[in-house]
Amino acid sequence: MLSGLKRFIRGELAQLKLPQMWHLVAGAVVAVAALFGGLDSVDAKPKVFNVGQPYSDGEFTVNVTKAIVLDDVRAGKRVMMPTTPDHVYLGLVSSVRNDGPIQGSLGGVIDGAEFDLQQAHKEFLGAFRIADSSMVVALGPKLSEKVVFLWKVPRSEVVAGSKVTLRVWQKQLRELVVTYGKDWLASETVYAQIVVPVVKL
Amino acid sequence: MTDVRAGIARRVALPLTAVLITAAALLWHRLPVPTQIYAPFDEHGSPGSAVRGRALDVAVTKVRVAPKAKFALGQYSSSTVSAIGTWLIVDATVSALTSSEFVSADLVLDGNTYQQALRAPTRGFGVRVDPGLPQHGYWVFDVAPELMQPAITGPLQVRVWADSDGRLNDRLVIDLANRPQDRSDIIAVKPFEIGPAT
Repeated sequence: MLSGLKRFIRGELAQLKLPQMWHLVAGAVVAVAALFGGLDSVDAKPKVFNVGQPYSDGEFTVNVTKAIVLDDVRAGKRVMMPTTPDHVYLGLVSSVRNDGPIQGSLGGVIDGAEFDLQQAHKEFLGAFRIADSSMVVALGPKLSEKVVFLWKVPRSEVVAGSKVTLRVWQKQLRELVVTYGKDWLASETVYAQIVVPVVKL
Repeated sequence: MTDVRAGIARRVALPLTAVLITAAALLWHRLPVPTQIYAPFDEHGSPGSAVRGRALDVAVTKVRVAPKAKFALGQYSSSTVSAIGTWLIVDATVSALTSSEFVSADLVLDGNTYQQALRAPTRGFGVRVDPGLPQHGYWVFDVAPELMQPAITGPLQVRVWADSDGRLNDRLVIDLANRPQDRSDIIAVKPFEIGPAT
C-alpha cells in the first residue's frame, strides 16, 4: 500500500516538466513561510468607507459625520483661530473610540494625525473635543469621544461643495525594537480611504 | 551495509526535516519579546500602608472617582475639567529613599493601561522627588466608566517607578481593587504639598 503510493508519487514527479517543478518548489516555500508568520499580502486596492459608517483601523474605530470649512474657529465667544486672508480651516467631525489596551495618540507634533488629509498644502492643528473645545492629544483605552480634527488649508483649494479625501492607515500593536515598550505602529502600505463632501458651517 | 544506511537516511531525511522546521516555527512564535526580557521587578502592596522599593516609598491614601474635578490653581482660583470618561484620582505620598528621583506612574484597569491624563491642568507631583522631602500629591487618570462599574472583576492597580521606562528596575504595584472608592459628582483637587506628613 505504502510502496504503491510511493511508486505513484515518484511516477508523477518523473512526469513533471521543469516549470512545473518550480511550482512545487514555490508551493513548499510559501508553506514553510506560512509557519513563520506568512508572507505579506499585497492588497493593491485600499478599503473604502463612507460618512456615517464605522471603520476600525485596529486601534481606533472612527465614524465620520461631516467635513466643514470655517473662516475662523470659535469656542463660544472666544476666537481660537482667527480669520486670515489666504487660509481657511477644514474641520472633520468624527467620533473616535480607542479599542486597544493602551493610550492612543490622535495626532500631535511627532506622529501623524489619525486622519491623513490628501491635500498638497495643509497644516494639522490638532483634534478638539466638541463638548468643551479642549484639545485631545491622546485617548485612553476604551474611551470614546466626538472630536473635530482641524487643518489649516489654502482658501482657494478647499471650498464648500468640493470633496476631500482622507486616509486612515492600518495600525498594529507591536513591540518597539529600538526603544522599549509596546505601541501602535501605522502600516506603510495598508490604508482605508474616505471621501467627504465639504459643507459651509 | 552502506546501501542499508543510505536507504535509512533517505527514508528519514524528509520527515526529520519536516519535524525540525515545525519545531523551529513553534519556537519562533514563542520567543520572548523585549517587554518580557527587560520587564521591571514588581513589588506588590496595598493602599493605606507604605510600599517600599529600592528607590521610592509610596503610600496611597485615597482613591476618588467622579466625572468632574475641580483643580485648584492657586489659593483663590481653580479650574473645573470634565473627564472624557470619568476621573480616577489616586492620592498618595511619595518619598525618595536615597537620591532625587523622577517618578512615573500608570494605572492598570481590567487589562488596559492608562497613562496620566494630559487634560488635567495641574501637576500632581513636583518634577522631581528629593530624599527627606516627601510629597503629598495625586495621579489623575481618565478612565472608561464602563470599566469602573461597582463590580470590578479585573485588577485595578497603580504602578509607580523611578526613572523613565523602568527597564530591569523595581516597580511598586499597589492593588486598589479591594479598596472602597470615594464616588461623588465632583472631586476637589488640592495642589501637591512638599514636607512631612500632614
